[in-house]
Amino acid sequence: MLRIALAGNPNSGKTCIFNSLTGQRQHIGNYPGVTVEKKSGRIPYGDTIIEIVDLPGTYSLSAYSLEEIVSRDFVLHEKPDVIIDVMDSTNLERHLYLLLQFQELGVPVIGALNMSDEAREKGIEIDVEQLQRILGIPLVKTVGNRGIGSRELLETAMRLIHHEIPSGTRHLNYGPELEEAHYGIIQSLRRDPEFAQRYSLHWTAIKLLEKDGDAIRKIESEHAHPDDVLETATKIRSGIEKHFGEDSEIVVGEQRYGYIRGALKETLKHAPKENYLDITEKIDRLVLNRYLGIPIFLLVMFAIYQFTFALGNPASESISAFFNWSASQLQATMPTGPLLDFLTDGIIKGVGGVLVFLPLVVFLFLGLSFLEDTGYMARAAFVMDKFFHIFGLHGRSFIPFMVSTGCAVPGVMSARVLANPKDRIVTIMVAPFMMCGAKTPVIAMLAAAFFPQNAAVVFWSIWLLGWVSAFVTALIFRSAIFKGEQTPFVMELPPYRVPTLRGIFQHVWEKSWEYVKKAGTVILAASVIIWFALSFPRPKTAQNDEIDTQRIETEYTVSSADGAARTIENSIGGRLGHAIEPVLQWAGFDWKIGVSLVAGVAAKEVIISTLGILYGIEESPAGPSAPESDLMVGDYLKRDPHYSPLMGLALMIFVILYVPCIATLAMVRKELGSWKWPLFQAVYTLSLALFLAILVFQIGSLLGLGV
Amino acid sequence: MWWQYIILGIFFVVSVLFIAFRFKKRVEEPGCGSNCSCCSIGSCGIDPSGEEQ
Repeated sequence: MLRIALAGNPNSGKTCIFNSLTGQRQHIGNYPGVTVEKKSGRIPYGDTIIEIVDLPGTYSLSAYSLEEIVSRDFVLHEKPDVIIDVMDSTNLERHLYLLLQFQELGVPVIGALNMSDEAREKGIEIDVEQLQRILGIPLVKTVGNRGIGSRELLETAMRLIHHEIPSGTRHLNYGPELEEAHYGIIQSLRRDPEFAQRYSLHWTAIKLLEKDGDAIRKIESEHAHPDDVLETATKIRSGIEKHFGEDSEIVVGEQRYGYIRGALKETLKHAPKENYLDITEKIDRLVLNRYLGIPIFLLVMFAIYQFTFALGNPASESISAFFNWSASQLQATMPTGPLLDFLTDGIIKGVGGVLVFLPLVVFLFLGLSFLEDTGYMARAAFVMDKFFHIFGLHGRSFIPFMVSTGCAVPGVMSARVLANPKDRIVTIMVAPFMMCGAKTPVIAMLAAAFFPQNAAVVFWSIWLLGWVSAFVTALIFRSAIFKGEQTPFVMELPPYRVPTLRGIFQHVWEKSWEYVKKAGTVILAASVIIWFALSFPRPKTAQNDEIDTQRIETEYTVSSADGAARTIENSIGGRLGHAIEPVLQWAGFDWKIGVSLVAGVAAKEVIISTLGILYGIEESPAGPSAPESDLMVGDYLKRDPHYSPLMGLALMIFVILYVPCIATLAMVRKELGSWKWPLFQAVYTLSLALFLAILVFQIGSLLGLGV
Repeated sequence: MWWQYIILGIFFVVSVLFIAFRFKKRVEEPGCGSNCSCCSIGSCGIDPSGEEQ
């Protein structure tokens, strides 16, 4: 039986080729780090049976991710008769990188120029004959989803197996400096003849130049003189790094790309028309600039928040007016009593208080969806990659971070894109610092209440604080707890596109509907419980031993008239707030803030509803004619003499950093398999939030800022 | 007024049960269920670059 392996980058159309060759109907969604299995199918060819093996998609043969290790081990140990490297013809520069590594590995390889129809449509002409000559391997044009070229691919593979055409092994020339270095390492490797017989010395030397962990381990365990070889390799690498001013692995990669670019210059023709790729290149020159890239990203996010506040605030005021009108209608038509209080203070102030911020959510996600659909977010990941590495995070951590901007629950899940367990744990531990959709209305409300003139700037600064805290915490974790190698990352940069209205509308609608649904379910139920917790038990009066209707009414009226504050303070919630107040007061928070922060662990929006209910109950004795009845949470905070902009700032810092919500903690347990992780996360986020909030409040108070 | 307390009591019990069941479900089956809208970039824990091979 003969064996043919299908390899290639993700999204190159391997599965289509596999299906077309085997007649199977595999549909493999490849989520890196999750699906790393190989599929196989058998087909008859003349008198022989051919096994076709579909390997996981991989960008290179370095031992960085599980996909790469699976593919590389299969090629090295299972030794397939031929490898078909499936390449996307519209992006050959990127896809030829893997092909070159197969050639260097010394295995027989065929290049499938897949999606050749798309390349033609985009005006890309490939001189296949010339490219074959340059690369020294057979190439076949294919259109995987239509089965075009599959038969030819199989025939070429058979001819290669029967040595009717050359196998294509080649030694790429890396230029004089690298070649000399490479030769030095080979000489050192030759000192063990047995090792030299077992492995390709050329390949091993290149891998040592690339600091490949797997190659180093192989030397350590199998070479007769491991120390000598590794010392020589380190010395040579250091010389290369000094010469080029870059890591040796980057230099090797650049040389390979240089070779590829040269080969493509000879064989690829683009149509002369101005297509979107040219525009993409022009924009990328600016947004991917090594100095301007990150400032541009920060500016873009600032613009999004300005846009959100400028358009969202007036709309929020209209919704607020609607809820105030609803409350006044209820107060005008219903008799005074606990049910009226429950509806106005518990439901309208609680749920309405959260729904008021719907426009902010709509406009924020309108902006973010626009950035995503244009292709800018992929660039942001690219420019942040170096920055991520400085803090010990993997470039791919950008994905969980950005997903957490919507909600930390899928953010934690998406950390599966990280193959290295240490990268994954660190990312999961810090991703909840991001400004999620639930924290957004809370921070927006506080920013607008305490800093009405600069709400967008303050909001943006708190968003930035979330990122900075995540980076610094990751650095501490990486250097103290989760030490280990970092792995490089290749980000596919899609061309810029004008987003479709339908696409953006769909994102925004889903997000907004989710917010409304949450307000109508979790927030509503939480508001009911919180209203009870803040209303009962009521303070005892002298004559409350007997229960009769008249007495309840009297007691209720007395309670309303003589001190709602006393009612709250006597309630379960009030007592809880007072119990934690001694700690929180160092950050300027009183017991009311304390209660809302505890309730906010259920879901962060509940902070708003709790404050709304608290103030609603406290102010309710004044009746519907009082000006207070027209106020929403932010207005109450603004008017409360105990609060200052400095306290508001400390509170925003606390909210962005403190304990993730229950749903996130449950997801962390599921992803990391133990309650110790969410418990650890809850403790350190609470400690960090408290520490920073106290620090800011105390320093600000000492300096007399914003008090 | 007693009937108002009964209505409030029903609201309270239903809310407590709702939150308790939801919490239990969250702990036993964490995730966003079938709703993929809870993340900002439209996919639920899926690398946008990692689609069908």
